[in-house]
Amino acid sequence: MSFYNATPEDFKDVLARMDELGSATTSNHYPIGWAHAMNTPFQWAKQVASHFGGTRNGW
Amino acid sequence: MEAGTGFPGYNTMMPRAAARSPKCSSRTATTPPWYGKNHNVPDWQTSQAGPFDLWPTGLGFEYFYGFIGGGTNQWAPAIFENIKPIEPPHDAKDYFFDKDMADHCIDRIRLLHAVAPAKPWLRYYAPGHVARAAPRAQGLDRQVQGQVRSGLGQAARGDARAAEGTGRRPQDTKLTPRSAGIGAWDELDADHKKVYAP
Repeated sequence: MSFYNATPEDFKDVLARMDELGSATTSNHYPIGWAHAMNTPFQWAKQVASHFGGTRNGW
Repeated sequence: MEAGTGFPGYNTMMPRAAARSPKCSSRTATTPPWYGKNHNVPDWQTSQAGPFDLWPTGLGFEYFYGFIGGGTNQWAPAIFENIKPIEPPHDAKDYFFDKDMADHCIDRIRLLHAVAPAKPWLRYYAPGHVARAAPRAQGLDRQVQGQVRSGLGQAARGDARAAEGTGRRPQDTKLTPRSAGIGAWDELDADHKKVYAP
């Protein structure tokens, strides 16, 4: 939820709690690299609508 | 939907003149029920005061079991059955909305199959766990851990070669550039790799 509250996240905190990722005690997303990879071959993600990443089926 | 933009039509209001998909199928098949995420109701129309014409049942879907908005907690979700708020069970320790939603979907398929087995049907099925955050059902992580590491690990390298030979990729396709804000896999340190692809 830190993203929605514009609170920068310290990677060390994420690393320390990585076993909790995906559980009821966190509200994490997957890393941005996954988003970009899953949107291949389109550029960006759905917020940049003109490039179709995230709004069309990727490979 | 939370916001409009300064372009014609981008105001979160689906006009009545626009055909809705259930209207196209209702003559020959059951009108589809909608399960899971519905992020199409304008924010100010999501309360019990309505109006409900832009809710799934208002659009012509025969049934709705899911959440209104971009996402919800999958262990304690804010869900609706049609327009009625549903309180998830507080005493079920392993409650997870994906399973609840699947159970509701299966129940209805069985019901309709018993009543009208020859009638074709369609489901609108949008699981919530991938909608916003990345929660996982208890125990599922261990089942898929190896696959995630090898499959998504390849993808994280920005490697589109996985699609080669599948026939889905035209030979002359050029990859779009990766934004500088997205780190390359090979440049990540060991800790980042551990968290990003456990």
